[in-house]
Amino acid sequence: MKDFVQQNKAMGCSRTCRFETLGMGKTAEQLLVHSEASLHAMIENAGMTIYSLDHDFRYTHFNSNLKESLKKVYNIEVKIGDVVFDFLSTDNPTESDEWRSLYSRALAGEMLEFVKEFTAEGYHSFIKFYINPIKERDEITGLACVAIDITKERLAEMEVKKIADDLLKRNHHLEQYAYIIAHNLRSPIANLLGIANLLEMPGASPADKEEAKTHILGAVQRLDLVIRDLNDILQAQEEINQHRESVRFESMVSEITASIQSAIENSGAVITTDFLGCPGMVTVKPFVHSMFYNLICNSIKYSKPGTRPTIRISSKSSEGRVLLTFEDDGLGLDLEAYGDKVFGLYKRFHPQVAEGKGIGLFMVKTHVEALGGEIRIDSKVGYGTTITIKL
Amino acid sequence: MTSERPLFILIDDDPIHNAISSMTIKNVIANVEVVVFSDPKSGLDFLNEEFASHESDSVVLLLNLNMPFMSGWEFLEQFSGLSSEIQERIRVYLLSASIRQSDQAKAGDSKWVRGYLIKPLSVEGLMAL
Repeated sequence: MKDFVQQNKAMGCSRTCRFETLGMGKTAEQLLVHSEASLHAMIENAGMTIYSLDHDFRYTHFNSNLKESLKKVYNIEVKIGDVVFDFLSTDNPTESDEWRSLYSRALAGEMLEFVKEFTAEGYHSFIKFYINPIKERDEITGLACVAIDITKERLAEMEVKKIADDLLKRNHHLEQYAYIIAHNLRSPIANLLGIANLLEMPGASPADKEEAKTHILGAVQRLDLVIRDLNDILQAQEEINQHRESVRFESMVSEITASIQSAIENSGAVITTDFLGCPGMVTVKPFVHSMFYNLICNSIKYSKPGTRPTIRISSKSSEGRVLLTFEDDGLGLDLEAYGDKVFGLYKRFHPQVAEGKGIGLFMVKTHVEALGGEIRIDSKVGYGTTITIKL
Repeated sequence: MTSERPLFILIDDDPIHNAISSMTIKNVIANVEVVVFSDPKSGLDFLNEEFASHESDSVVLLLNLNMPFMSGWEFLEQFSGLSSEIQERIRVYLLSASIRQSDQAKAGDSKWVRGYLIKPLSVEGLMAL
C-alpha cells in the first residue's frame, strides 16, 4: 500500500476519489487501490512507452520507458506537469510545432497512428505512435499516448524488400538469358544442323552441297559472337564487387575518340564536351567507358547521311548524383512506335544503316543499371537523340 | 487463271537459314517457287503489291520470330491488316530456332498461324505442311 502510494505519486495520479462501503467486505477504496495497482503494473510492464497528457499538453502520467527514452535521445529529465514538446522549442522549433499540431488534432477528437524516425548515439530507430483522446462523458479531457519501437520489424521489412527487389532483378536477367539461349544461341546451331542435313540429303545436288559447306564458317562465327555477347552481358550484370576508380570524363572521351579515329575522320564528326559541372567521378571504369563508347559510336553510325554529325556531351552534379547528357543531331528514333524496345537486345531501328547488331543501347542500359543508375532517351525522327544518364 | 506451281515465301533475317531452307524446299517439292525476304517490311510490301498478280493457289509463308527490325509477332499484327483475299490465300507457319514452350504457346494463340516449326527446316517438317 505504501509502495503504491509512492508509485502513484511518481505517476502523478491526481485523481480524487469518494470512498463508499461496498458489499463482500471490501471498501471502494480498497477496490480502487487494487485496480490502480494492477493498471500501473500493466503500464510499467507493457514493454512500450505509455503516457497521458492533459488539455494543455502537460504530462499527467508516464511510465519509466518514456523517462528513459527521453533521457537517452534528448538527455532531459522529464517530470509530471512538463509540457510535452517544451524541451524541443529552442533547439528544434519545427519539430515542436509538428508535435503541437499532432496533439491538437487528437484533442479535437482524431485518433492518430503514425511512425516517426529518431537518431540517437548513431542509432536510427522507428517508433510507432498511437495518440487517442481520453473521453469522460463525451468530453475530451486529455490524451492517451502509446509509443512502440518497431525498428527491428522495420529493418527486417526493408531487408525483405531489398531481397525481393534483388530476386526480381535476377529473375528478369534469367528470363533474358533463357530468351537469348532459345533464340540467339540456338539459331547458329540450327544453321549447322541444317547444313549437316543437306550434306546427308540423298537428293541434294553437288552444287547445293558445296554451297551448304560455304555457310559453315558463317554459322560458327555467329555462334562465337553470341557466346561472346552473352559473356559480356553476364559480366555487366555482375554485382558491384568490381574495382572502383576515379574517372575523368574528358580523358575518357579522348581515349575513345583516339580508338575510333578513322570512324570520326570518315564521318567528319564534331564532338564538343562540357564537363565543368562535374569533371569526373569514382566508379567502375569499364562500365562508364562502355556507355561513352556505345553512345558516341551510335551517334556517328546513325547520323544523317551527307552531314557532319555533331555530338555534345556534358555532365553536372545534381542532388549528390552525376547527370550525363549525350546529344546528337542524327537520324533520331520514333519512340512512340518503338517505346522501350529501343533498349532491347538484338533490336535494330535503322534498316538503311548496314552496321549495327542491336546490342549497343542494351549494353548501355545494363551498365547504367548495374551501377544503380537510370537512363532516359528523348528523340525525334530527323532531329536527333538525347540520352540522359543519372548515376 | 490459277497456277499449280506452289509458292513458298520465306521471311527471315538470317541468310544462312534462308539458303538452307530454299535448298531443302527445292529438293523436296518439285517445280516450286521460293521468294526470300530478309526484312519483314519488304515481305509485307510484296504481299500488298506483286502478290495480287501472282497466280499460285498453294502459298506457304514461313516466318521467323526473332528479327532485329520487325519481329515475327509484329509482322503478324501487320498481316491482320491485309485484305482477306490475301490472307485467305496464304498458309502461315512459324519457322523459329526457339525451343521455348512460351513461343509455341503464343503461336497457337495467333489466328493466322497454322503451325510452329523448329529450325532447321527438315524434310519431314516440310512434307507435313
